[in-house]
Formats: sequence, structure tokens, C-alpha cells
Amino acid sequence: MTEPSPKNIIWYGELTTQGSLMKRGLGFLSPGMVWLLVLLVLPGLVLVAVSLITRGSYGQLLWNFTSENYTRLLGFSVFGWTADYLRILWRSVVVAFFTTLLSVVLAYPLSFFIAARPERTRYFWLTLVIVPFWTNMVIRTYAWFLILAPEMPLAKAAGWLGLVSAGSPLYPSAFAVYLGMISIFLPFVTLPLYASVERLDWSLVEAAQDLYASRIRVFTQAIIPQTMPGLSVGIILTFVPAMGMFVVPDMLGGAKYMLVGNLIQQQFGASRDWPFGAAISMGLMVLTMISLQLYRRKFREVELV
Amino acid sequence: MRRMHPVITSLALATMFFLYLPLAGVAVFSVNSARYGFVFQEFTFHWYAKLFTNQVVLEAAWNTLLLAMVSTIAATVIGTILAIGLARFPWGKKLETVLDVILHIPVVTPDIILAAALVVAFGLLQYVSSLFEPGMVNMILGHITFEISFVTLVVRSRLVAIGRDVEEAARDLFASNWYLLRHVILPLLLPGIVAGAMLAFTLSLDDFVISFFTFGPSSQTLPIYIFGAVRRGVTPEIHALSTLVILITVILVVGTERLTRKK
Amino acid sequence: MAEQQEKNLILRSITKRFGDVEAVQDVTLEVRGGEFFTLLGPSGCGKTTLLRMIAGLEIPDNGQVLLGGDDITNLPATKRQVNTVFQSYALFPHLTIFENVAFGLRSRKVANDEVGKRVYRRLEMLGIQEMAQRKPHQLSGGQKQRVALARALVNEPDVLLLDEPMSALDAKLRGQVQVELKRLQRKLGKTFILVTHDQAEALVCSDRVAVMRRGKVIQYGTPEEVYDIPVNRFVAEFLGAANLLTYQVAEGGVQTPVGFLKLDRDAPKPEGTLAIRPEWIRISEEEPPVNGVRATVRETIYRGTNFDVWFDPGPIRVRTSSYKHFHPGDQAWLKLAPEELVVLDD
Repeated sequence: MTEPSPKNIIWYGELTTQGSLMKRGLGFLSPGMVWLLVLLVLPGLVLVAVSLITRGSYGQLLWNFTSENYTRLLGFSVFGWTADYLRILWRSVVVAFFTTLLSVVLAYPLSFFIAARPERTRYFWLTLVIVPFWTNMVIRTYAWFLILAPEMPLAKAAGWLGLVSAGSPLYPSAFAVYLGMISIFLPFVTLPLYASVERLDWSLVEAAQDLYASRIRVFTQAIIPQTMPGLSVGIILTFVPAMGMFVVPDMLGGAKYMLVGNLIQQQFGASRDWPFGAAISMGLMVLTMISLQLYRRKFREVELV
Repeated sequence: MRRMHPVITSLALATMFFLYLPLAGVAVFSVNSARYGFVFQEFTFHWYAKLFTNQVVLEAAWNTLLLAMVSTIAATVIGTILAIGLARFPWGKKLETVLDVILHIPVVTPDIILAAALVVAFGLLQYVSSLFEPGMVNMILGHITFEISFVTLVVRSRLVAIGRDVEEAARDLFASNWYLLRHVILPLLLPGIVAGAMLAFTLSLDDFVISFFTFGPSSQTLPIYIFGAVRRGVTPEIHALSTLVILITVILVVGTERLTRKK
Repeated sequence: MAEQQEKNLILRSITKRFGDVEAVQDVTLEVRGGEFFTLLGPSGCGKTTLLRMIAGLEIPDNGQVLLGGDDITNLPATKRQVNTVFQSYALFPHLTIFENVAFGLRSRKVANDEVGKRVYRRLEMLGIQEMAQRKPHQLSGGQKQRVALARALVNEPDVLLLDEPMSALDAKLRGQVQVELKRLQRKLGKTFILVTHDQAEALVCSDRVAVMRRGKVIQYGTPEEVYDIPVNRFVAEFLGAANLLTYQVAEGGVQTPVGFLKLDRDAPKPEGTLAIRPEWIRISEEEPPVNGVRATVRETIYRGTNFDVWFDPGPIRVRTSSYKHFHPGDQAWLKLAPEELVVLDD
């Protein structure tokens, strides 16, 4: 019948040619990919370019290339060197790190607790974690205003202990920022972690217990490796947005506890200094990538143990 | 069921308490008649009633909904087509890696960088067309962009799970391309598409940063309104508004769960 | 129906490579219209690849597939009058059993009442008409397999392909289904091609068997031919148990590790291997007139329907249904009759 043609291939049961398959594939691929290229990749490149130009006196962009924005971020200016910006960057990394760490520490008991509920109530407890997960973070941050208000027991106790002056709220402060951040990101760690805990092979845990392993060894040798997939997802889902967070420090940290997110927001808001804002964004991107890379290397070590 | 050590149980319950304490506080004071201060006087729905006469709040609520719905529909359609394009064609290792990296950008980038990039891009596009003035159009474009990634990732994982042999069986039973798509792929993909759309919708409602960077004077959303209002002081109206948003979130979460659990 | 002229399927010098692996190497076979043909071999021998090339799910690098004289090598699966029962059954999980079976008719736009009639006829024939409105996940493995069969047969294919259809069933059900499948094929008179790695299944079901190994067909013939006269060590051992004895040609017969044996024909090579099935060896008290081996019991194993008795020298395995119990150390004569000794090619 048909002459055998060497270009024919069979793909998912369909007899076709490489060429026509690719043509059809491009049809499926292009709307989404063109969108992402135009509104994601291209703006990203423009941001890089803008970080290398200067700002006019009215906030307009002047296309003469310079590395000024980056040297400024490193603290150099006509007035000499200052560590202000570097301090904010470093603080952002520290806050993101401890937020992630403390969220993980709280997420483990919580996921084990939920996994141990009987089938009927487990869904209820899980929903209790999902609801804050999906509640807008502006509202969840705002909610802390109440708890930390001077009239509330927490502030009163702190005043009585002499930690703050009596009659003043507990915000803005580093403490308030941590409270806000942890409460926002805790569900981000808990949900993926729970997915791993639910599938935990308890026979391995029991085997470790039978071998008289200490509780710590059971946890580090039998539980952590098994829950690693969910834990990793949770850590990335927390650390990345925590690095760029500006709602919480803006509302609960004020000028006293600025993070890099606030700094970027300032440049695109009040200061209208896009080139410097773009340069800070690049700095944040680099820091995030380095952190994820460090984590990845660490993670590989964990796998080897 | 496995018994948990009492220390674990109490830690877990304390954590839950920590999660819900602020939310409960807001809800309690939203039905308190006192305008100022934090002493509970008497129960009232006064502040809720007031919300529904506040034009700015109503407009912000409408904007929030419009933004979420339009961006979700667009992102679901584009993301589903993209997922099929990625998972069902032999692109080769190299190209697949590149496409995968692009797809994961919104997942591994702090959203403020995405927002900054969009601001700059829209700022330049403004010279081309006034359509790109800060406002609803920019917000919708921005939301679609990050939602596409998440929809695509969800739908693609579902598509991979369908596997090759069901499609081969359909071919063996004489199905044309269109018949296969219409009667096998799309029905099997539907739970994934619904899940992707739900995710996109909640991500849109949950977003603050991208909206905040791209909004214009007439396209305020509820989170932006609250963020601004808080600077002017904490009021029972905002408590009431926040409580409503939380309630709607609860309804959405429970509704989604019901919908996807039946499948 | 059996009188209807069924089409022959001919595979001519088929070769298929995946990267560096030659999955199928120069296979030529003829499947006669209306016969139950089995491709038998261990996993990775290329039998499934061969089946998929008949179905139109793989394209051969070389060679031709001819159905009823027509070259269908480059015909898409959608245009072949060939249907498949997949190993996983690949039922459509979102469709009812009725719609699963109707799929092939609907995609070819057969009229609605015709679809209903034909689907119900197949469902009834396979005894699953009560399942029509259920979904696949509500069915047992055996029921799913029937649905897969009905779904393929409703299209009246010239050839029905079965890719390890029993592998998901438990051992007891499998034996029953093998017999049913053979009866179904006899009743319909259609060409069935079965792929399996289970030699018992191949022997029960087939009119003819092709034994495959490493992409090549090593032997093909009726189950009796393949079982009784294996061409080499691989076939002898893959189909049931066999005693293998190396030989060297000697005056009037061959010399083997168990002694001098006569053959009923001349050995083709000066050195080689003989095979004899354990159930073909006779045990007796007296020395047999020809090919007697004096042997000592090493071990006996009870297998329900018979005993396997291992003798020295050799060891030679003998399968006997005799009630006589043998104990290690007992002595007996074994008769390795010349007509039962098969000379292998390797």
C-alpha cells in the first residue's frame, strides 16, 4: 500500500512524522511560552538592564550605563562607606533562615499530630492548617496588631517585666516581625511535610526503636530521611518568599526592622528610584539562589548518610 | 491509630492556638460595639452593616473578585494547553530543561522581584500604549503570568499520571486526534484542570505584592485597601472586613476540598 | 463462523532497534487465519515489541507486516483491523463498562442502536452484561480482563492481540481463564496472537507457538512439537523440566556422563547435548534391554500429582506417578529409551 518512509514515527500510538508532530507541539507550546517569555523572561532581562542605568532627577530612566547602583548597594557613596544596605540584606537572610527553621521545628509535631488523628477528624485538622495558608497575608499580619496592642495581656506582661515601657505596644519590633513571619509561613511548611509524614513507613521507625536507638537517632535516621521530600518543598516554599517579604516588616517592623523587601518597595514607591530598586532586586535574587544552592548541597549530604 | 507522645500533642495544639489566636481576636473585636480600645462592650453587627454602605470597600471587593476570576480563567486555559504541549511531545532533553526552568521561575523567585520586573516592563510599555498605565489591566496580566506556572505544573503532573497505554488503547480503537483529546485526555485531565484553576484562584486572592506594585487609583483590591487603611489606624470596620475575608477563605477551602475529594 | 475465511498474517524479516538494542532481529513468521498463535519467551526477548508492531504501536526499522496479503507496515493503528488486549487492560477509567466497550464503534461513528446491539452481544458472550453501567475501578481483575476482551472483540478484528493478559490475575484464576480463552477462540474462529512468558499458558492455549529469545524466534511449531523436540538447551529448559546430558559420539551410540547410550538416529555432531524429559524415563527393578542406567536415589520431592526423584549419576531427574516410595540410597534401573532422547543443536 503506502511506500515505507523512513521519517514515519509512532508517538503515543499515533503514526506521524517528526515534522508534523513538532508543528502541532509548537501550537500547544507557544501561547503559554510566548506569554511567559514576554511577561516573565523579558521583564526580568529589562530589570537587569535597568539596574545598570541611572535615574534622572524626576525619577525618569536615563540610559547611560553604570555600575553605580551596585556600588551603592555595597555601601559606597560620595560620603564614604556605610554598611546600612548590607546590614539590611544580611538581616533579611537571617530572618528568612530563622523563620524557616522555627517553622520547621513547629511543623513536625503538628504534622505528626494530624497524621495520628483518626480518618474522620483528620480532614478537619488539615482544614485548620489550610485556611490560614489561603488567608491573605495582609489580614493575617494585621491580626497581630490586636494581640500585641498595649491593652492586651502580652504587652502588659512584657511591660511588667520591663521588656518594653509600660503602656506601649509590642510592635514595631523584631519580635513582632518573627511572630508575623512564623505564623504566615508555618502552614507553608506543614502542608507538604504532612504529605510526607502521612506516607511514612512506620516499620522503619519501629525497627530503629527495636534496635534501642535513642529518640534523637530515631528522628534523625528514620524520620528525617523519609520526610525529606515534603520537608524540602516546605523549606523552599518558605525561604524564597520570606527572603522578599515586605508586608510583615512594613506593618510589624517599621523603620526599626527593615528588610530588603521594604528597601525594594521604597525604590519603586516613594523614592521612585527604579535603577537602584532593580539593583537591590538582583542582590536579593543572587542571595536567594546562593541559599538554595547551599541547601541543595547540604541536602545531597543528608541523602548520602 | 498511632498514639502520639503527650509532648508532641501539646506542642501541636499550642501551635494551632498560635495560628488562630490573632484571627480569633479580629473576629471577636469585629462584633464589639466599642469604636476605640480593646475592651469588649456589647455584641453588634453594626460594623458589618457599615461595610456594605462603604463604596470604596465594595469597589475593592469587586476588583479583588474580578482580578481573581479573569486571571484564573485565562491562566487555566493557557496553562492547560501549555501542559499538554510540554508533556506530550518529544522535545528532547535540552529544550525540556530550558522550558522547565522558565516554568519554575515564579516558584523560586521572591514575588517582589517579579513585581519589580513587571513594574519596569509596564513602565516602558506605557510609552507604547496608555493601556499599560498602572491599573486593572496590568494587575490581570501580572496575575495570569504567575498563575500560568502553577496551573501548568498541576495539570502536567496529572497528564503524566494518565500514562501512555490509555492513549495507545484509544488509538488501537480507531480514535482520531480530536476524538482522543475530547473523549479521553480532557475528561481524564478534568480533576487536574479544576485543581489547577482552584490553585490559581486562591493564589490570586492570596497575592498582595504583585497587585500592590501594579495597581492604579481605581483598581484597589481588598488587601491593598486594608494595608492602606491600617496606616490610618486600627478600626472595627477593618476587623469586620478581615473577618469576612477569612470566612470566605474558609468557604473556599472547604468547597474546594469537597469538590476534589468526590473525584 | 469458523468456516469464514480468516486472513493470514505474515511477518517478513522484521527488525526493530531501540537505540543500540536490537529488540527484534530479522523475524519471519506466518500466522494462519483462525489459529491461536503464541509468542513465548522470557521478559525482554522482543515478543511484546513484535506484538506492538502488528498492532501499529511501533514501526519496524526493516521488514513488512502483511495481513491477508496487504502490506500494513506503514498503516496507522487507527486504520488496522487489529485490536489489542493490553497487559494493564488500559480501560478508560472515566467511562462506564458499556462506553469502554463501545469506544471503538463510537470513534468510527457507528449508529447508536447498532452500537448498543453489538456491545450487549459481546458483554453477554463474556458474561459481564450486569457490569455495563459500572466504572472500571468497581471491577475485579478477572472482570476487567473480560471488559478488555469485549472492547477489542466488538470491533470484529481480523486479528486479536493479547499482551500478557493473565499477568494481573492470581494463579488459580489464571488456569481457568486460559481454558476459557482457548474455548472462546475456537468458538469465534478468529486469529488470536498471545504474548506470554508462561510456558504452561502457551501450551494450554496455542495451536502453534513461537519461542523467542534475544529478539529472535528460536523455534516454532505446535505445542507438542516444541515440547517434545526442543531444538536447543534454551527451549528444552524454558518449556518444562529437562535432563541435559553432554555426549561424545562412540561406536554404535554416544558416550555420556551416565554411561553408553544408543540413539534412534545418528548424532549430527561428534560432541553435543542430549535432552530427555523427566517423565519419559522409566524406573524398573530389572535391567532394561537397552539404555539401562544403574542409579542410586539421591533425593525425592513430593509434588502432589507425582514425585520428582533425583538419581546419581547425573543427577538425573525422574518424574514418576508410581506409589512406590523411594528413599535416598535405594538402587534402581533407569530406562532412557532411544526414541525419547532428543539431540539438541547446541
